[in-house]
Amino acid sequence: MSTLSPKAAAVLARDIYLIQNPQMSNLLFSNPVFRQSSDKGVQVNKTLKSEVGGRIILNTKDNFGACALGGDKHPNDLFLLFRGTTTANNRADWLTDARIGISLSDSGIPVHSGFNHSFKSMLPDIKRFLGEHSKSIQNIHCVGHSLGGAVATLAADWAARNTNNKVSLYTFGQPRVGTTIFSRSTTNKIGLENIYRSYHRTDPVPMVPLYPYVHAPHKDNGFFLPSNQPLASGEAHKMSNYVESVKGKSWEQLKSIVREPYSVEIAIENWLKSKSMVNPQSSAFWRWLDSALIYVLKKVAVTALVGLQSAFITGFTLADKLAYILAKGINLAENISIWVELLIRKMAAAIGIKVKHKREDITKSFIRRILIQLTELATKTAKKAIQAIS
Amino acid sequence: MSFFSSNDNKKEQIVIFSGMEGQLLFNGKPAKNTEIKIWTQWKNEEGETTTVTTDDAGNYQIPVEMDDYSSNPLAQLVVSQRITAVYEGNEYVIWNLGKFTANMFDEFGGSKPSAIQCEITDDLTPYRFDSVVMETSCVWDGISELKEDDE
Repeated sequence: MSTLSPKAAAVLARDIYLIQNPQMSNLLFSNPVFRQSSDKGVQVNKTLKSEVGGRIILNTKDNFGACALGGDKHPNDLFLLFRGTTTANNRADWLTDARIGISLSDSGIPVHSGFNHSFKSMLPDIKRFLGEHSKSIQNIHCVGHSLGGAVATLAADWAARNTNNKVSLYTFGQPRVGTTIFSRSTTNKIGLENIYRSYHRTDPVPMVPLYPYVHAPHKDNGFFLPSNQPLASGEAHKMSNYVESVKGKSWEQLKSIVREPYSVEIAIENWLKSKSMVNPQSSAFWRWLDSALIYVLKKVAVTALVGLQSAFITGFTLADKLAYILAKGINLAENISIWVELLIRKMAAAIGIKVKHKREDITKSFIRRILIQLTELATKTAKKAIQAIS
Repeated sequence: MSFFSSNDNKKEQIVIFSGMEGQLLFNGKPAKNTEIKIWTQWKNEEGETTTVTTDDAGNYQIPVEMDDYSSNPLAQLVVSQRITAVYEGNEYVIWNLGKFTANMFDEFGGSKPSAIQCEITDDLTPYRFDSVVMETSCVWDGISELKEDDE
């Protein structure tokens, strides 16, 4: 079977959003990757409705995905595509909804119950479509962005367990679907080489839900894409930006982008915990600090539901905003506040300030002062670096 | 409750429809005094409908449609557009479009189109480029060069 190129997969993950509007679904299916002409009595594609009420999807019956047969280049292929939340359907609280727990997938493995519910409501239609074409299908491509990527993961897991077809999974900026048990088991079933999980460095969605959720493939970083934004940003989650990032690249090329150690969570934690000397002259220090800041901010933001977006405007606003978020974080549970404290201590060490022993002394105004001084130091250091090379 | 608090959602103006002016034809002849309906949809299911009428030479002007948009990183922007012409009592679709960005002239590949002509009786031709997927019986200068770059 021909594996989809990163661009082809990204275009499908984007265009499936059109399915929500019944008048626009033809635009999706007109893609030559799909079979166009309908032989007598043969249904070449089908819109999937998710019947989840209220919590995930606004309507009780909402067009959420599609099954489609492959065109000339994919004669034995079936496509299963799923969309995320749209502007026409603004119930975008699926990610942080604390009421959503863990439930058992079709194969009895614990997964995110919201994603699972959504997938299960479409499964009867998927089974029916697959049954009608079972003779001609050898390969199944599951594709989705964001929430759609989570559902595509469950679809791929189901197809790998319940059909004899080769299954490939392509997702962009997807959240985590299940725990380690699911991740390990689905990676074994689908095959590590058939899972193409792409994400921008600063896309916040793949960071959640927090542990115990983990990503599939198991113990693999997926396809890490650099992004322009310095901090966690909604821009990095947009599907149109994913299309731009993968344009003209092969999977091999994308895989060769080395995930920076600075963005590996365990490495960041080790850096924060380390007692090593803080050297603000070294560029590595700033890289680590940047990553650690993102890491700690995301941790606080996800837990305290505070925003990060407005944190990019000016140095002053940035300091105010970050101080606000971090001060919030210092008052959260120990598993969050310890990282905020370690981060503040690192930053303070860089500008030569000694932090008192008590955590209560780390107030908002103290954090703000450190951030402003650190920003000035960063600018100075950067200027120096520029002067050194010019 | 979203991942980002509502205070952080930056409001901006986005382009739902870039507007267009051109000529409507029926079998090669100007479709005069013909009603053109423009339906756009992005933030709710119903969408908005605007109506314009062609003059004696079949010329029409469809205004730009803008809207306020509060960026929500968890909701993908999807704009749908459908244009129909009501000619002698029959309604014909001349334009179906879906786009994932909202900048001026996205529908035309990024720059202001010239010499737009829409032939009611032509089949709809599909186009995919940048962040736009569309089918239309309208043509303008440069339309044939619009395509996805590495497909």
